[in-house]
This record gives sequence, C-alpha cells and structure tokens, in this order.
Amino acid sequence: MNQQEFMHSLHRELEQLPHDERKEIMADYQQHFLVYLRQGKTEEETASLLGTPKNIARLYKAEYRVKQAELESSAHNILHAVGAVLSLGMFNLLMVLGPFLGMVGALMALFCTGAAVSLTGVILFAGSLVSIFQPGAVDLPAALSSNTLTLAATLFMSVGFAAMGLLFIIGDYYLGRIFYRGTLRYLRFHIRLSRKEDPHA
Amino acid sequence: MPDERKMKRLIIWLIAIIFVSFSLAVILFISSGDNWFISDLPFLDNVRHIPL
Repeated sequence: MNQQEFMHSLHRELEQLPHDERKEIMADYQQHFLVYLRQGKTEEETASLLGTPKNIARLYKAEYRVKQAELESSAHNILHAVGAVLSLGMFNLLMVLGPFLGMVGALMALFCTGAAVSLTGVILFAGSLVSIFQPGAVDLPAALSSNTLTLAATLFMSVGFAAMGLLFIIGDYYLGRIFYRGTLRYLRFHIRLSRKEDPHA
Repeated sequence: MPDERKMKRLIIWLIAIIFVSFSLAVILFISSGDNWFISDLPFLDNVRHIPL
C-alpha cells in the first residue's frame, strides 16, 4: 500500500468523525509519512509500519465515542462508546462486555426491586385504606387486617414500603452515575492499552 | 432529575418517612393485641394485653 492508498483508505475509515478531527488525524499521518520517507524508508514500508488504516480508525473512533460520552451523559453515548472499544479486539470483547453487562444487569435488578417494593407499598396502602372505611371490601390477609389497629399499622407499613422503594430507585440512580463514570475510565484504560500496541496512533 | 440540593432534601425526607412510618407500624402492631407480629415474642407477654 503506497502513501496515497493509505491516506485515502484512512480518510474513508474515519468518515464517522467530525471534519476537524479527521483533518487533524490526516495531517498527523501525513507527517508520519514525511518523517519515515526522510529516514529513507519507502512508502510501502512506512504504511506497514504505521499499521492498517482500519485499526487506526477504530482506535480514533473509540476515543471519539468515549469523549462524546464524557461530554454528554446518555445511555446512547455510553453504548456507542462500549461498542467502539469492543471493536478494538477480542481481548476487549471479553474484558469489557462481560463486566459491563453484569453491572447493567445488577443496576436493572436493583431498579426493579425498588419499583416492586414501592408498588407493594402503594397497593397495600390503597387496600388498607379501603379496608378501614369499608371492612371486607378488600381481601387483605387476616394478619394485616384483624382489627382497626392492625389495619392502621399496615397503612403506616405500606407508606414505609413506598418510601423505601423510592429510596432504592434514587440509590440506583446514584450507583448508575458512579457506574457510568467508572465505565468511561475503564474504556479509557483499554484504549490506552491498545495505543501501546500501536504507538503511532 | 432535580438538582443535588433538592435530591438531598428528598432523601432525608424519605428516610424520615421510613423511620416514622415503620416505628408507628411496630407500635400499632404491638398495641393491637395478640397477632402474628408479637405471638412469637414471649418476653412481650405483658405488652400484648395493653388495655386500649
């Protein structure tokens, strides 16, 4: 692959990046070619020393996606960033996808737990409230509705459950934020590792 | 999501609600007499029959 083919291929691979960023990368590689050619290397040798345009572009795309996810926190951006880092190699597929899916699963489970506890509270509240004013209208377990005081206790317990579920969901939100930042740092670490393998990028 | 200060206030309120409501629930369950909640607590025999 000569210089023109290399640069053309790299330009095509970097199509998803913004124009300015792409221009900067292209200028960098132009510079690499100049330096190597001055050292007496041929265009083909230089191209093989620099690596394949596809791999170079993957690294830059991953870096761009992570930067985007840092600038604007959203599920869409983090998914794109993870996807871009996964494309860097099989090692990343194992070391990034596994922990990421595990953490997402745990966060979703915690959210569902919170929602379930909250919903239980709301339903129990409605049931015990109706039972106080119209005994027998709702089929509550005897242990929760044997007399008015037990019903009142159930009513307060249900309020506690609803609040506890909400607290779970808020806790999940904060954990999600920590997880988001942690994931980005972890992705950066993997990009740095890939960079070490490809020092020109 | 609301800002940090509002969130902190909301969390404090929720903790207070949980504490108060569960405390009241326990008190009411105990004072409601012989039920599942206190039937297995022999040391509460004297509490179980509080005349109300």
